[in-house]
Amino acid sequence: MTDSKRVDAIVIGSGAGGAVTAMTLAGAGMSVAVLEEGANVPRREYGKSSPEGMAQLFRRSGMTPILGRVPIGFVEGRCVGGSTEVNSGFWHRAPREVLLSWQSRFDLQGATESELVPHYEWAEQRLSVSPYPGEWPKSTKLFQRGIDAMGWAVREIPRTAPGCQSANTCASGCASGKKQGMSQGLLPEAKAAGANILSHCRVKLLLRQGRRVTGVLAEITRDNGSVELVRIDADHVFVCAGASQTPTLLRQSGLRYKVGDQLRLHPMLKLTARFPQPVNAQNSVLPLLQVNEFWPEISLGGAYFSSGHLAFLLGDNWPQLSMEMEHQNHFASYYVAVRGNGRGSVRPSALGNGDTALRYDLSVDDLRSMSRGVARLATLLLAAGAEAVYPAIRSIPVIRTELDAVRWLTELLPAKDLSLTTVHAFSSCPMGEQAGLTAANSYGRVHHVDNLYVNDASMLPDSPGVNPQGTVMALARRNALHFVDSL
Amino acid sequence: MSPPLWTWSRVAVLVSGVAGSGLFLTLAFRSVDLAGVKDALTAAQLWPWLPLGVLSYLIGHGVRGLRCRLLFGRDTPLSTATASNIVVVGYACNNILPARLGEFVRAGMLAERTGLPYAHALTVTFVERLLDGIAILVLLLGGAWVVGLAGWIQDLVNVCVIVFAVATAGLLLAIFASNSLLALAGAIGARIPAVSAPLIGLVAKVTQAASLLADPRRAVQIGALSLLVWLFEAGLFSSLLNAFGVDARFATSLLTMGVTNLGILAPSTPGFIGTFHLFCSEALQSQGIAAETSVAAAVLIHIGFYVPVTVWGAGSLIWYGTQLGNTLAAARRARHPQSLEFREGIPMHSLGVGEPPAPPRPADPIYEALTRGLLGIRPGPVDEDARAYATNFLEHQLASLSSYLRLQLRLGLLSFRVCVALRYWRPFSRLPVETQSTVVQWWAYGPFPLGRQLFRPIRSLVLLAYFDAPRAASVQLGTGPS
Ligand SMILES: Cc1cc2nc3c(=O)[nH]c(=O)nc-3n(C[C@H](O)[C@H](O)[C@H](O)COP(=O)(O)OP(=O)(O)OC[C@H]3O[C@@H](n4cnc5c(N)ncnc54)[C@H](O)[C@@H]3O)c2cc1C
Repeated sequence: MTDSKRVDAIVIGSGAGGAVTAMTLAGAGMSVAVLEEGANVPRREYGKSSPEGMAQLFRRSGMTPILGRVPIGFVEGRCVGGSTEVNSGFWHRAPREVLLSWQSRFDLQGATESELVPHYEWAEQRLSVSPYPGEWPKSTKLFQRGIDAMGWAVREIPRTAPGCQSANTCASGCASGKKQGMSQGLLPEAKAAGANILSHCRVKLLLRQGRRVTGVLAEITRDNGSVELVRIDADHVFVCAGASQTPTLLRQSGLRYKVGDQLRLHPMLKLTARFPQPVNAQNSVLPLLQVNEFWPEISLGGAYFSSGHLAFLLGDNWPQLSMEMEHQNHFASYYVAVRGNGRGSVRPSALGNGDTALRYDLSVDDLRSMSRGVARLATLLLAAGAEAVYPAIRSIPVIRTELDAVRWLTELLPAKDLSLTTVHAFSSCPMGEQAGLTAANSYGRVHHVDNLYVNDASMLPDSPGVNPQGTVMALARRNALHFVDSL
Repeated sequence: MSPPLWTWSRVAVLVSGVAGSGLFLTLAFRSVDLAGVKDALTAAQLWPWLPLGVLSYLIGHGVRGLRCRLLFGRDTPLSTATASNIVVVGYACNNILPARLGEFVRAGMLAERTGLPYAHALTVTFVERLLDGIAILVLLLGGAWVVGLAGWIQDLVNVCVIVFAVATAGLLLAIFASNSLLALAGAIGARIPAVSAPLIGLVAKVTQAASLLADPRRAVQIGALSLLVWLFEAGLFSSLLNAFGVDARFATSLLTMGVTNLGILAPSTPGFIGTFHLFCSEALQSQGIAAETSVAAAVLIHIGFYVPVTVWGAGSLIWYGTQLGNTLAAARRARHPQSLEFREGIPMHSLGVGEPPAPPRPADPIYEALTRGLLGIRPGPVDEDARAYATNFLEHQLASLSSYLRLQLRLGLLSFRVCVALRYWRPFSRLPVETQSTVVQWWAYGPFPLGRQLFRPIRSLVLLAYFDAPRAASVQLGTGPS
């Protein structure tokens, strides 16, 4: 520790990247302050209805759309533990092909498959990553039936939820505490190692002098809702505020080099399927399988389901489809996600007190992959026995036959009519040695600043094509250890 | 530990104040015939003009109290009378203590009375001063526009226009784009480390102060009250000019009041002796009023400005039993929050506290009407509890959008309301439910892309909340064939 007036390291954000960073630095004996904008929501408050969960745990109550020619609904967590508190806990390692392409294109050092294995293993062990413990719920079995009929490659995706009780509350916080969000898994360990965690503390500005960051300016929201502005001094700052907020904060603080210029997403379109038999998907965990036949460009998997979400998805064609709500017990939801290589950006908005403007323009590749994905998922679901499939597309209310479905293998969906969403955003401050393409070096140190690091989803050089939490944690661990070793 | 009372900087302030007063007094009286001034004073018709002028000035302090209460928020346990008394104590202390210490006494007393942190009371005091500056400039410019200008006052007004433009732009920026202002301060601080901490501290304070004005309705009320305060103060000037038989327009009083109040920013003794006299008399002379009469008027107006408020303030101090030394010390400590604090074990320096958020406003009936309209598209009964839940959710979620998107949505809803009102000659929220559903269906699912775009978030939120409302699941759904 330097002196009692400053901390050795500030970690901004307590999500997947922040928790790993805090734990690693505190474990190495450094004085660490974790500053988290969101609340420290007690577990007894978890597991509420999805509207309440949104208001409680999500940034701007989930009202953070990404604008572009086709707007995309986007949500991210804002609470102690970040998005890991509201995610589904599906765990992936980045495919070998993806890591190789990061190395070749961005000159990312020290991140080959074998170099990352120990970090993945460390995280998997900490979070007890494992397959679903019980019998698969019906929505998963039906999915499996369709996949078998199509003969495609499939995998049950392990999750960070050992002993999952299938309560279907992943998105509003796991009340049983089985899912290992960071508040459950790593942050208590970071605290035990000496890290101090301050919730309701939003960092507004990084304070700089020349090539160094001297600390941060932060807003603390008090119990009565008033806001106090404070300055916290530190020797090192790790920004782990997530793919939308890390570049916002950096740009706000005058650090613009390759920051926020390359936002990547996995655009996602949901399809709901009505089966002849009751599925009761609202009472069980979401479907656990992922089709990896078309990886990493396209993945097909299971989506969260509730009555409200069904209505939301049918909402594009509500006058025709509202009566389908009568059969809600027979429905389940699935998704098509594409790797996404459109152009995206993150900018602090000039108006307001720290607003962010997110933009992403779907590429033709994205649209083509999406169209094929819809064709394949609809075929799969019809082959699984669905009577009808309802894509979240205004001009295509329903697909009833496989022949109707395969049309989209060759034709492009009407982009303007798609109701796209995403929960996977990254690469807004890519890292690597290719200075012309990256905002930080291979270990997350921001170019042109000596003591500032990014260590969250924003650092991924490009879209991983699979659920990102595992890769965010493995890279964050690697970077934090590299930092500690270099002291 | 309290800081020592007599530091070098305070001695310097005192000495420069006395020197400034001496200099300005000399300048004010240099070229006038003192006997003429005395004659003008003796001839002045004090009744009824002096009491009227003083009354106007004191009413201005009542308005200050009202504004202060509004700035603290309606829920604060502070009556308008108490707020006015405390404001006057601040003025009285400025009249007897050096270096505008009255501002700290006022902030200290306000904090003691309201139970809010000293830092917040200082922020309120700061925003009052900022608004006063802008109001004085507006009235000064208004007066100047009517009566015309001469000589150095023209230069002063030119400078004022620039200052006013910059201050207003700064205030607007602080209200609507506080982060950009902080970013600018951060960028300057990164290049010039010596100014970093004070500059960021200042900008932090300005943005916190400005946040008090973020609510447009409140901002308009407070702005209007600020103008009123200074109009009443100009009443003191106007009334006492009448006492000298000067047939001046009210605009002359506005101009004189403005110039005087800007002038007293220069260093002087407590009570603004010298500065007040010089700037007041020069402003009057610039309007063609004889030098002796101008100086005499300045002397009388200063008395009207000084004595009643000092007496009122002293009375209030005794009434509230305030211990001046302690109050002052607490407020000054809050002004220099450089001391280190630990929260959750993290060392930090506080730079000030903003006000608690305003209580929520009553719901806009449009949200209920939109919800009814949307739910009416689906045949069958509507669960009223779930509907109410969806209405609240809709309103809350739309309010959570970023400023830019919220603005877009408000404009969209405004167009919607106007179009519907023009079509049906009734506001949307007063239409029968069936008509509301027809209208919503046309906008949300019709041929008009902008309408569909506007209704996309609205319909999504309503449907999500209605069907996921805690009781809706059992009441509404799950009844299909199994
Ligand atoms: C609904 C949902 C489902 C998902 N499902 C999966 C899944 O099944 N599998 C998977 O691998 N991934 C999933 N993800 C994505 C995954 O959770 C994220 O990629 C991952 O958590 C990113 O980690 P991060 O550290 O970058 O950001 P986050 O985990 O989002 O953490 C960022 C934290 O920083 C805080 N913060 C932001 N700005 C500031 C500031 N200025 N000051 C202080 N604090 C700040 C935020 O409040 C937040 O807590 C899902 C995400 C969501 C939202």
